[in-house]
Amino acid sequence: MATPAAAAAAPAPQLEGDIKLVSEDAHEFVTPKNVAAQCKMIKTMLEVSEEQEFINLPNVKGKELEKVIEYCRYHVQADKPDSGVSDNDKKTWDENFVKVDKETLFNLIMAANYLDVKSLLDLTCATVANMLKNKTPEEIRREFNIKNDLTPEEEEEIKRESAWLYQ
Amino acid sequence: MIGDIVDPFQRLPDEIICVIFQKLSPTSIVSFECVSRRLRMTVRRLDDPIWKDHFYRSFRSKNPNRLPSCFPTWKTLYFFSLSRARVDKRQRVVQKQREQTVRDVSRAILPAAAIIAGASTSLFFYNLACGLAEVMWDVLETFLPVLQRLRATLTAHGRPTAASPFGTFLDRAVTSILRSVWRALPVGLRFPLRVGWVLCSTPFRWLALLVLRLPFRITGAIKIPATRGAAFLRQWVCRYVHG
Repeated sequence: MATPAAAAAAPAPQLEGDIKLVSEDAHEFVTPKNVAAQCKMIKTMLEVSEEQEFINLPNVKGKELEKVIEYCRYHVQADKPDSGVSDNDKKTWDENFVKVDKETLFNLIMAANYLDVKSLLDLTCATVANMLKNKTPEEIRREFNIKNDLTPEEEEEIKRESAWLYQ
Repeated sequence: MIGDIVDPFQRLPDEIICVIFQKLSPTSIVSFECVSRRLRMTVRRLDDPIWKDHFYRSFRSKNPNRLPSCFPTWKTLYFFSLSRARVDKRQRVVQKQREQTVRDVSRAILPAAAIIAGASTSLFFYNLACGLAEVMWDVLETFLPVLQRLRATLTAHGRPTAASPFGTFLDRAVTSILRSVWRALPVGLRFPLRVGWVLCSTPFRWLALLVLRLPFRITGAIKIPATRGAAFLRQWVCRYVHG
């Protein structure tokens, strides 16, 4: 009987062929199944039925789906043992990948969350976290167009609690 | 880059904001808390045990810059220590919640366990007492014919009766001997003997049989080997005493 550890170490069955991914705004992307399977949600669907020819993704727009596929394709290629891509190269590529406008970045977060691509979710969340670092509340509001809906009493309370921020 | 997006955090679910928090230092999280009501509520919800693991794992695994970015003065350090105290308080609150849950469960389980243990022990002793009573009753019942004869002898006053067919000198002699013995007994011993005598009378036997054996009928009669021994003894005595 195979142990769970042995089962985990065993290579996943190779997915062959292409699959068509259809976005919310009816854009179609034909991609290899092993690239699409980087998204855990799609992988699960393919495991249920390998004969599927297309998958509808009603929560992802075409622009973000294209970016997700681009991310998955690069990492499938880069993770191959004979690819010759170093960790630094991957890091640089990731940094360039997330140099997008905020709207796209937040849409990418939502898409990564929906498609269950953990590495992409981590990358995009880290980018947003970098935008928030070392910024005052007022700067954050300006950066993300956030309306200050706190009442004066609440603001007073916050200032009392974290007065050292305003020194 | 286009910066015209309006409050993108409104669209993000709490789980994702939590992932973002994991990559921030506590200082940044506190400043994030002051941005809007929704973000403040999200930060506050970090105290909830659901987020606790995410949140404090990031505290433990990384070495975030916990000091404010401005140059520390006594005042800033004082307020910083206050904020640390607040974070520590959150930790304590979460820990306290967990301990409270354990206490609540213990409070719910321990009385139930005590009741079950008490009931089991009581049932055991009750069954033991009933078993002993039945054995004693069987032994008593075995010697009852002898006692009945003795009573008949004592009440016959020497006259010939069914129990004492001879009605002769022998009966009178036995009766006078038993009366002498009875009178020789201390008064304190006579009363329990009288009570025992009454209890051996037929209506009390029925009542006692009912009271003692009813639980065995209801609960499924715990068999005690001694009872069978007593029954055998009773049959043996009956056979040889009554013929």
